[in-house]
Amino acid sequence: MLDDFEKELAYCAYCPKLCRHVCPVGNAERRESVIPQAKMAMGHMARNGTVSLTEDYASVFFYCNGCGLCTEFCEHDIPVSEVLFEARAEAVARGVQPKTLQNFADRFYARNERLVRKLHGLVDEHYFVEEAQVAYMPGCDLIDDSPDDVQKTLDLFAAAGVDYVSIMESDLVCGGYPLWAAGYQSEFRHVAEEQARRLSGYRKVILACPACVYTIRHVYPKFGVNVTAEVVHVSEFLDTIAHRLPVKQTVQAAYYHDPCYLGRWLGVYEPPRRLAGLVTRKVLEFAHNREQADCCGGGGLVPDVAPQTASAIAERRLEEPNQAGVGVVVTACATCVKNLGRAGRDMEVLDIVSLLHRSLE
Amino acid sequence: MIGTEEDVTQDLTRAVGGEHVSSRPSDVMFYARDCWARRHLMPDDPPRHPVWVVWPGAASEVARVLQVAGRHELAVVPYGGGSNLVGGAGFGDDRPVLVVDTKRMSRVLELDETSLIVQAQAGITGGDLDEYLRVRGLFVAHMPTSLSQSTLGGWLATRSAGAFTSRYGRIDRVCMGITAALPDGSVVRTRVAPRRATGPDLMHLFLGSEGALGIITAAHLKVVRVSKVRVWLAGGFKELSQAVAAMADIMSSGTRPVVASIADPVVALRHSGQPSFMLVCSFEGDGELPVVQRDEARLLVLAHGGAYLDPAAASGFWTARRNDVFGDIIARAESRVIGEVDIGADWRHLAMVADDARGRLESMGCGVTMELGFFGLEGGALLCKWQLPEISDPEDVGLRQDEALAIVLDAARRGGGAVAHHRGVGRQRSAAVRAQLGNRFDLFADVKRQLDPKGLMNPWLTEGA
Ligand SMILES: Cc1cc2nc3c(=O)[nH]c(=O)nc-3n(C[C@H](O)[C@H](O)[C@H](O)COP(=O)(O)OP(=O)(O)OC[C@H]3O[C@@H](n4cnc5c(N)ncnc54)[C@H](O)[C@@H]3O)c2cc1C
Ligand code: SF4
Ligand code: SF4
Repeated sequence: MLDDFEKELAYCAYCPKLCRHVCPVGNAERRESVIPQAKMAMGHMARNGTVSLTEDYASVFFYCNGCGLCTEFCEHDIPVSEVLFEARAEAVARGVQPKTLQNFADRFYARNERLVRKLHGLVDEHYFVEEAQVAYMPGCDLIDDSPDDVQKTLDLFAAAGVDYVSIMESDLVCGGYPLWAAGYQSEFRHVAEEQARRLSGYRKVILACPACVYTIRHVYPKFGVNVTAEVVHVSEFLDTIAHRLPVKQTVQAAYYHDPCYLGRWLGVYEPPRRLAGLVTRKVLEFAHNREQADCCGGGGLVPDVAPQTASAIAERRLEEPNQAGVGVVVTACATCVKNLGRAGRDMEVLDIVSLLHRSLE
Repeated sequence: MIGTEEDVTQDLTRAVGGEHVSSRPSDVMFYARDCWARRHLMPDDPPRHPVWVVWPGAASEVARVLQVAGRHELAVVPYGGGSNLVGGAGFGDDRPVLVVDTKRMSRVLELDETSLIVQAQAGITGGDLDEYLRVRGLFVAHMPTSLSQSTLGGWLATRSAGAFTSRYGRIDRVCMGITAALPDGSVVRTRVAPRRATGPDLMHLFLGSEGALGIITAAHLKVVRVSKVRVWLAGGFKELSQAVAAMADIMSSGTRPVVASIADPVVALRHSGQPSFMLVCSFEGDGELPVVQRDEARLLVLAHGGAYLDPAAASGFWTARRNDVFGDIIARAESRVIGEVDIGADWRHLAMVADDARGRLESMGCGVTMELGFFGLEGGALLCKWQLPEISDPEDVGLRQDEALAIVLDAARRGGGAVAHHRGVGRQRSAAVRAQLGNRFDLFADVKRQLDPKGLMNPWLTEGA
């Protein structure tokens, strides 16, 4: 309900555009209507009845990567993307969501089914152990777009002598972030409840997708759903066993790109850097890094709604390594790998898991 | 308008490409507003929206857009960051409006690190320009508080001033030349050399023209090397007149402060623990020079009866200014009515103008805070902010706001000062500026008629002239 965010909407509506410069979507589009202040002002006007939402008016809510840069900048800590995701739900409820997101839930479930089958084809069946205490959940973009990284992750666990991690046996490979971001809240709640039941069968679950770690840890509870298992990102887990990884430095230099959900939203900055440092002589920092890191453009379903904008954001992010003549960018999120990789042309963009695997002795 | 809306859309599409033209209601509605609190920042939908927004990528495209506007007799309003506080985004008459958003023209075109001159397209935001320069050990000698929200073109079009104005001058001193597209669709470049005596300078006609004469598409600006040392000075004074006299002497002493400001006692109290007028200066450079300059300025503070305060109060005041803007958001969202305006006066009248405005606003029941800054050798600006007392009848709010604004502008006039120092004129002050300029304004209207015979460009400035 937008009413829950009355104060946040009003603050932004009256703000003299103070955070406009940090918004990746606003910067790529150059349209006034997609800077954070305007998107929130639209929500404010929709809430107070000044505008009645049409597909066009509501479209601005979907021009958000959920990157959190505006919130980081704002002295009032306004959670703009959370409010905009709520506004998306309002749009869905009125049937005025963008065309590309119509029937999104059906497509989500169909993709899920496909990915469940694909996952079983990717790794040997012995990795699926019902009684396991600790499970690994690769997540949709990893299975779909970086399928080799699933086995590579398992190889890294084995190389460090960790033999107790199984792959999470489930008919759901996703924590539901895409449904939340698309504004399909009742479907999201359903997936959250189902997934919480499955997750709670384990003591610890290691996820490859930062957005789903965030969703399970912080969004589920807002929907009244709690998970008893400890949910960690794969980089956090690998960091705890890194001393046992038989790797050597094989890469001269690589930039580390902070995924928004892993960095700003979960506060995980150092573990992936430490891991990259094990195998890279020089881990280079973007001028905007950690809390200030720029987005890759892949979050918040922007690639579904505005693919060219998502690419433009990625291209802008890659300008720095391009200019420095460094050909490798490492990150810790399959969505970032996908979106940066598409824009990368001559740039090698890879997940930390891939980088470590390449350097196994 | 000549032709139909479809005709115009087709012509604009030919000029800049279809993906850079929009008539979507969600787009045009945000171009009917800017940061003028009185109307545009209000979250209610302003009554009149433009019909088209275009995003040209270069001067030649802007020129083509203006030719289309001329052919169809549209009203044209340039739009940079839309951060102006004076209502620059409004339109005066019933013609369909075409907004030209400059932000796709956002590239640095040339950097001369020997002569310290940068040329950039007019739609680059100050933040992007600054970032480009900082990694090269340089910065743009113009630093408005709205750096990241405003564009180079907007600075020039409003004759703006920035935090470092006391050292490097307002934008009219920082700018060395412009490229502009004229209403007839031609492009003019004014820069022939860094300094010139080649007759009247067209550039200065465009500075402060607020989109009434054409569209600035690029400019050459001075840049400065980042210095290694920055030291702060804070001095407390019982009377504003003492602080102003001390600042006047500092400015003419050759100590060349970079940041220079005088804060109100209520603000000073938060940072220094003293409810006195606080003089704040920073001195920047390499080696010993900034410290020598600071010590020299400190003597001037003492000579004018000031007390030496902890320099941390000065730096604290400076960094906290950002929070003041965030504080205003709360006030506005809570429907408290605040207003602010910038006026200018010379050293002789500055304190008098400030006291006059404060006295009259307070007798209206307003809470008042003031900051003096943006100094030059001859004087500086007074930023006056007020909060109206609670008003029971909402109908009265506009009237009372007008009354408060009129008080401050009148104080400026009585002190022989300017009714707009650096934020431009806009709808907020067009009547006041016209009244102050008298027949000089008619001259400007004549120039506009010559350059823009069809009156395409942002018409407010000459409305009724
Ligand atoms: C928080 C905050 C702090 C501020 N601090 C300062 C400050 O320290 N100093 C200061 O001077 N101002 C300040 N301002 C006011 C504002 O930022 C300036 O007036 C700025 O110069 C406007 O730039 P813009 O790109 O946003 O222009 P806009 O608001 O888009 O436009 C301003 C006017 O110029 C015209 N225009 C814009 N671009 C062009 C162009 N390329 N060619 C021709 N005409 C054009 C427009 O039609 C309009 O009339 C502040 C504003 C805010 C919100
Ligand atoms: S998030 Fe904060 S800075 Fe951004 S528009 Fe809202 S109030 Fe302004
Ligand atoms: S969360 Fe990121 S993409 Fe969304 S409005 Fe804020 S800065 Fe823009």
